[in-house]
Amino acid sequence: METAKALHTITVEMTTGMLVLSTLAILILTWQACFSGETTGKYREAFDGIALFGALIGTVLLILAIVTGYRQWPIEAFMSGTIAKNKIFAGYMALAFWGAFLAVRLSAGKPLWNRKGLSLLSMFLALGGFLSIVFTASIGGTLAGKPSGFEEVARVFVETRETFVLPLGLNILLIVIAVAAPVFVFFWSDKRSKR
Amino acid sequence: MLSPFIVKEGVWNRLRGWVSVMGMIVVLVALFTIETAMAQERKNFSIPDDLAAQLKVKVAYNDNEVFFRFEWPSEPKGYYHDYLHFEGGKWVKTPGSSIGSHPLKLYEDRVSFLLDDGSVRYFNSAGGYITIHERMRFLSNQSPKGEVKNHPHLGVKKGKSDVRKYNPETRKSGRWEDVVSESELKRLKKNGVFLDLWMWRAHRGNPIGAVDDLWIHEYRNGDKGKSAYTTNWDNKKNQPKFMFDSEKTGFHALKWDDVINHKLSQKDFYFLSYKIAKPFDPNHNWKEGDTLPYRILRQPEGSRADIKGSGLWKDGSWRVEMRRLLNTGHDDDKQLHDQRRYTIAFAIHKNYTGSRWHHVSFPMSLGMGVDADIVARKFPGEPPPWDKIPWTRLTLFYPGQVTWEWLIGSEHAGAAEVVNGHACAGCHTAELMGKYSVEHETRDNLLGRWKMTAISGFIFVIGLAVAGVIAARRSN
Repeated sequence: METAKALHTITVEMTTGMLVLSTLAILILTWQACFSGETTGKYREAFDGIALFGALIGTVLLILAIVTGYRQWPIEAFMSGTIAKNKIFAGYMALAFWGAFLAVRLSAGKPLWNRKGLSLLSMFLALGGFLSIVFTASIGGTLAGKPSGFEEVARVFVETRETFVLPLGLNILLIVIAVAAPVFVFFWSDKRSKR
Repeated sequence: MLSPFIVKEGVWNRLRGWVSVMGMIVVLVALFTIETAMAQERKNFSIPDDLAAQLKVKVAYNDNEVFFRFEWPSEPKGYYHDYLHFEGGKWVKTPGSSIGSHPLKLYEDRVSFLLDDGSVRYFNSAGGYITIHERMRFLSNQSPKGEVKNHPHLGVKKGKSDVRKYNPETRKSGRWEDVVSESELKRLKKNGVFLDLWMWRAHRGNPIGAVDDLWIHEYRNGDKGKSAYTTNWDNKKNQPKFMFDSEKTGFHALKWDDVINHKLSQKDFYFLSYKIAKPFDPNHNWKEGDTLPYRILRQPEGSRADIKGSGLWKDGSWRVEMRRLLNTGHDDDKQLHDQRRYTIAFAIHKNYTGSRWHHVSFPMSLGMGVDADIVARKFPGEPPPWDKIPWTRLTLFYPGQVTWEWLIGSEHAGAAEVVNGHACAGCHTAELMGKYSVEHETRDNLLGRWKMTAISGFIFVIGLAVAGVIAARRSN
């Protein structure tokens, strides 16, 4: 059990570090794409490399962190613990956001940063992933019996001591957006290519 | 061969918008169905508005007696309890202990505490939680009456029809049915392995200065002797047993309007006791709205009469005092000694609630002249010099349906700590316990909603990713 705890702590620390690095690089690249108009250069190449490398390694480590996290308690304890459920939720959201970023980046390649829309989408995904990972890491200390104090910061925005649930309407809205966004992009890009 | 199954591109282009819309409708209907199915009715379910409550305590003792003083805010008048009113030519009883707050606001307030001298395992760390068990009365999964009535010990021997608080050491397993042998029960009691329960009741005792004396063993038992109240109903004649003696009170019955609208003060006769009662006269000219208390108060006797007390409701707060001999000489009491430390856990019932709809404290240490969470001060003579004794302020919380079996089971992440005697207060604060209790009580519904939130969040991000990938591929 102690080994699993130590392993989880190490993977969480490394995950956070990698993903913070990637987030910073993505923020810089998005700023360049949207405001500076810079489309080439060795710094841009380097930031793209950092963003991709950080996201790839960070996501692999995140999966490891989730796996080692599950070793801490029985699954039924996770499912009945308020903070634990919130931590799982934030962990999986982080995985979804970073997985999504990687899918977009690997599909678009380096030219991603030449397109404002895709750059902004990447920044949104990275920030979502970053906030999720910060949230899940900040409440982990409380679960381990060693609160870091960051949870109190997180509680300013979200009550971590209540299971995080969205109203049904908002759940539906998210799914509608999820279905509508690809359909919209498909038709919109179709029309653009016909023009 | 396959041509009938291949949709022409032009047809697909026309249909894909409709297919998307239909897909979304199917998803919405599925979600709505899932949510409706999850919001199913639960038995004995009611969440109070206030998940926390405040209680102030002072304790003092002299050479013979111990004195408790309590104060807590309780906005509504909570000294009305169980009545019979004449309606349509017959006597109708108001509902008894209800789910949550009493529908007619006719249920008494209470302050009570469990007391132990270190004999009961886990009481000093988990407090009253050790007495709450699966399938107890008023839990959502309570045992049916018939099941309890047929139980050889609780039903056949003791004549009970419900499962109430018990010490887990009186069971062979985590099931209420597995009561240890009679000889083992006797041995445990002889060794002091039980909890003393003091309960001040605003109606069923307070008007005559009595405090109920109970003890928790294999059941929530009353001490030997006679309680301060009994029922004012004759089952054979289907009528009340007693009515007010008009020579002493000036009336035969209360008015329903005065009772239901809480118009009576504590100086009025809102209760019935043998001192002010006479046998019920069915030939009296009873009128619509005549009201009689369903409980009649009497002088308690034996060990059940050990505790005296009085309470006054004023300015939206109760002020209650209790007193008892340090050593009652009775084997169903915990005797108190100078310079010793005890464990005590408090509860209050307010807002017309009974049974489990109370607010409870974590267990605390009570020091008789020694350092503790609550220090009882020694003084000569009486009354205690209350002004010189500081209040101990406690935050009480709604305990929900958390049972001892759940606390030490695999669903509770802190189960190992509980089993190792780690105090609940070591991991949780009283301020948050009410929230956790509600989370626990609603966990089935909550888990479904949580999964739905997680799935929709996940789908949302994946949808964005797919949109991004489409855009990226098209641009390439």
